[in-house]
Amino acid sequence: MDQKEFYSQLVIVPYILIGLCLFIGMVRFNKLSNTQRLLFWLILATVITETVSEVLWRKEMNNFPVFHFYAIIEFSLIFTIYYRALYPSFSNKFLYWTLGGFLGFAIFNALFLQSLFTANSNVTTLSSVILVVLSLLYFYKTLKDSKLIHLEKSIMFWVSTGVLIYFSSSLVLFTFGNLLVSESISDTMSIWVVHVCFNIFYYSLLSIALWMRSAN
Amino acid sequence: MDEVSELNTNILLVGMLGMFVLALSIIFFIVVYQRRLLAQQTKHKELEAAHQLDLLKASLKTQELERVRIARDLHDEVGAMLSSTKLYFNQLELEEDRGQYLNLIDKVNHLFDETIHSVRRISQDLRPVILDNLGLVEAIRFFSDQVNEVAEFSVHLTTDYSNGLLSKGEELSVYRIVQELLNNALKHSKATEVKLTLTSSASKTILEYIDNGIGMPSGAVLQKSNSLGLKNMESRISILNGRLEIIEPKNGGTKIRIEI
Repeated sequence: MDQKEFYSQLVIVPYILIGLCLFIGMVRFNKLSNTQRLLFWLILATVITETVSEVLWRKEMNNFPVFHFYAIIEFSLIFTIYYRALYPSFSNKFLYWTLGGFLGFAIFNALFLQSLFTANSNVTTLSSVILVVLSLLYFYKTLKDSKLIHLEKSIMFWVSTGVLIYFSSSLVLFTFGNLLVSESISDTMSIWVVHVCFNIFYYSLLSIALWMRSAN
Repeated sequence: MDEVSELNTNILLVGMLGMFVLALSIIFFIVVYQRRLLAQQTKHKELEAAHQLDLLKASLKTQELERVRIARDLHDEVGAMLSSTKLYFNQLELEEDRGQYLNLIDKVNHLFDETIHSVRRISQDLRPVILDNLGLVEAIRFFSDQVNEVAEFSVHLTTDYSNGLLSKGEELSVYRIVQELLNNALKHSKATEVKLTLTSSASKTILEYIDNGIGMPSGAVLQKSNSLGLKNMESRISILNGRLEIIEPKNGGTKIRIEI
């Protein structure tokens, strides 16, 4: 099996996991906690985004605008999850300014820096940085409060583990994303294979978070 | 160009995998650290629960000892005196000699006085009347004077406490603590001088005890000991949400500071 074939098979796994998350979310919807429901809406947004972008791609149309909107929706939903977990340990003002600042930058970026028809690497990079910081703040709060008896029984632990691992690793990719578009990368396939592995990790952890019995 | 692009690929891959490993390490550290933290907290809570249980046992034991003492006082003193009085009354009926009769009346009166005194003393021990009538400061002063009469040391009381700052129940607890401190001093301290200071502000009341005796065992030894008196004090202070501090002054003796 050559690398391209391996990649084409590997890339299916995240889609299967997204489908699994969606299935778990739909089956358990009435039993889901507020955090899990936000996660479910995130998965649904991902499914819609992937479907629309796939359709546009097949019709040979530019599908970058879809990702511009998805970046904002994804950030807002994950941010809301963290807002609920971090407030009131962290001030309302700090959290509102973070969200407002990000949304402002996303609009500014789309209007003046990276148009809707190009990759929005600036926004995904900023989003990754903020989400990594939020996940670290959550872990800091967990250690500070020392309330949870078993971390692995907390939905937020799995969400934060997924967010920290996926977004910190992908941060490098998003930051240097422009290199991938240019000719200065010899082996883009291995980079995407690694990224797909992170995706698999991320959605596996989210499916655990959705599967867990709600404690809140 | 090929060498540059290969270098870029490697940098990107190493960067991504490096971040992955870093994130995993952070999570691993957090899980391990949090477990240790919780284990410590659980141990601390268990120790605290054991200590509270000790205090409760000490409190119950004290209650039992108090009941035994009251029963003994009633039986040996009041009961015996009333029995004697009854005997004298029986004799009064038979006595024909006027002089003997008056002598018996004197004895009966004397026994009644003794009985009344005993009942007052027992009642005073149960709930000092002076505390209700004249307040905490006078009650402590009265008790200190009583101790001064029998002790080899002299008690000096300094206070700026205004009666009523603490509730009646709290004042009784402070009074009991003073009793415990002075009783301990009588039994163990070998001191020649005892200073008691009771000060208060709007937010707290501080009772300080200092003697020039042989001192107390160190804090750790004291914690492990079964000193009923100390546990009683701790129990009362704990109920008052207060803090007990046993200090070993460099020049000997004992210093105890209680903050309520």
